[in-house]
Amino acid sequence: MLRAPYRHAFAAFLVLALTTACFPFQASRGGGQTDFEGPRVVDPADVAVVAGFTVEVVAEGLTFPTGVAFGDDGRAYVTESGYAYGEVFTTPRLVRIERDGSHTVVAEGDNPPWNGVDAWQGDLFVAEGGVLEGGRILRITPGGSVSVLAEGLPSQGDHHTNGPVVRDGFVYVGQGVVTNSAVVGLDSYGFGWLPRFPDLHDVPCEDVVLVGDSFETPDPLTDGDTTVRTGAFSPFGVAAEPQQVVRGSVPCSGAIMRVPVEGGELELVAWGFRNPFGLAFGPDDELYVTDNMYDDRGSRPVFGAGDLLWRVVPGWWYGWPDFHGDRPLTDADHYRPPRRPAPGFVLATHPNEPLQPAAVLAVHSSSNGFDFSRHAGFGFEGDAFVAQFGDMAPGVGKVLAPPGFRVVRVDVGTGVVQDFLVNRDGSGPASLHGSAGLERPVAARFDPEGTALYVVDFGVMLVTDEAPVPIPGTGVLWRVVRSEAP
Amino acid sequence: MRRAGATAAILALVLSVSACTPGYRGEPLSGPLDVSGPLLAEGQRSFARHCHQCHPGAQAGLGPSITPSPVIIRIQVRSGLGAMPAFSEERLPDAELDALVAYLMELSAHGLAVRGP
Ligand code: HEC
Repeated sequence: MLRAPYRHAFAAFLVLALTTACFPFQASRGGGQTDFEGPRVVDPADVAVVAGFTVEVVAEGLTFPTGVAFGDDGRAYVTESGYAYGEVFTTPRLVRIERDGSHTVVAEGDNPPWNGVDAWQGDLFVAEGGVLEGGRILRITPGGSVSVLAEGLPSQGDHHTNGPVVRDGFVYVGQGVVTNSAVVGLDSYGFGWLPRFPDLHDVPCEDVVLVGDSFETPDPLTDGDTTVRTGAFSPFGVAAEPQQVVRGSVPCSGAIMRVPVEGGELELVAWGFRNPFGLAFGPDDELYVTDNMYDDRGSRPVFGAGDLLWRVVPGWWYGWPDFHGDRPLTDADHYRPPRRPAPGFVLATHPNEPLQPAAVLAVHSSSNGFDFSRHAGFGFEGDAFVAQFGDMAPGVGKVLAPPGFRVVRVDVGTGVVQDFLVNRDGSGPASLHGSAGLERPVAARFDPEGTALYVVDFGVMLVTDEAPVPIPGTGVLWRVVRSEAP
Repeated sequence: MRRAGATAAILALVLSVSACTPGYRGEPLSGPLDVSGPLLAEGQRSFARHCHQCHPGAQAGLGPSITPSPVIIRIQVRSGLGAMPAFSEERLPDAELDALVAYLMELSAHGLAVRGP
């Protein structure tokens, strides 16, 4: 008979052996894997916030809102994307939220998605995602006249031009990559853009040298059952060669770039990101960025890579497509998806040593727009408040419960992540619980005084086995204010 | 006879352990957790760095909710059964694992203690 301590360990081992190792056989339970019958009803009572705060509804009925900023008139301006995954096109718009919660259209575009807005000296700066014509950076006056500060950003693929944030005479934007992990594949076809742009691929910011591996897939662009081989940083169906040099250029994929507020040359700030979605300057005057990390999909799937919050060092390369933070994807025990091959390096040499991120957020949480608290009257000064859109499972990989669908508070000094604003009924969007709480928070920003946190909620987006199903008109602007002194 | 007794004991343990209800609920639902002691603060940081991404707030996400059992946590962290990566002593030293376990037990107990309506 085993001695007591060993007996405990043995029993625990048995429990684990019985209950774990079943991951591959469990069904995915993503937050979008549900049904929805409109109209969307909202009620702050269904949202739980840290004690001492109150939640309010500012505006409803928005279609795919993505960002908020404040004009010199003190009003909130919201970007409505005009495009959502699932290939749903509407009109990208900048709307002003009036005091009664109604919306007034300030400007419209035709090259969606409009992924975020910042304000400076009364004008609004919009990151135009550009799935059709490439990304652009727009400057829009409160009267609605639009000028283009930069164009031709590589946004026609999986991820777009995002951000933006204005500081010291420059507009900074985050540019997402075309693919999941540098290889165009069947997932690109699933997104809808491969038939539109069959030659599209990621472009590095500086020259890179490839290991030269290629990935075999069926060819969905032809009727026959031919297969093709595709290399990293290459168009679909073009194999890579060992030691092949891929020329870098700006604008490029997976980068933070900036342009003067009056227009001018687009400059590289840092690169090696995957989908740098939210940008904000911290209390230390450094630039921070949220980076949506790898999915378990496509020709080079990656498992278990949490979204990252980075403090940006200008000129640095941040690890995509071979690292997750400072950890190499070749750590197969971590990054190999169940029953798929482990990712190998695609780059023969790496531009620099990757850094450790400021924080690691939940896998597939889609950690997006954020802002820093800077007012004692709100409290938690110096913490980052990050809006988490929530998972797109099963398309991005499987989850056992829905990550995201909330606003978290991050101490960028220690990397500790804590819930700030969540649904009372548990994880996942309101549509999963039949409640009137949060759906998909996509941006969070303090008002100019710093005493109210505005949260942009994209609205309902279901995910079926085939495609995402975004529901127009379900977007909401929430506000969180102090009800008791900190 | 002794065999049967041992099997029954193990079965009982298996059942009791797997029936543990984790109490993790997060600050909006259960109030702040006091981590002013150095052990809990270290455990909280370690959790954020190594575990939060797959078990957000120790709840289910990519992986399952973490069973609040020191033995189970230690074995799982070192052996990485199933789809979870193993953590070597080099990456997660024993003393840090002690702090991590203490933090998770405290977090679960805190959530259970203030479980609201
Ligand atoms: C890359 C994702 C990932 C990371 C990081 C991770 N886990 Fe896990 N964990 C999992 C998955 C997936 C399972 C389920 C394994 C299975 O069933 O195959 C699991 C299972 C477990 C279990 C057993 C299940 C149970 O009932 O409790 C424990 C305990 C656990 N993890 C604790 C931790 C701790 C503590 C850390 C940090 C040191 C950690 N995990 C880091 C993904 C992860």
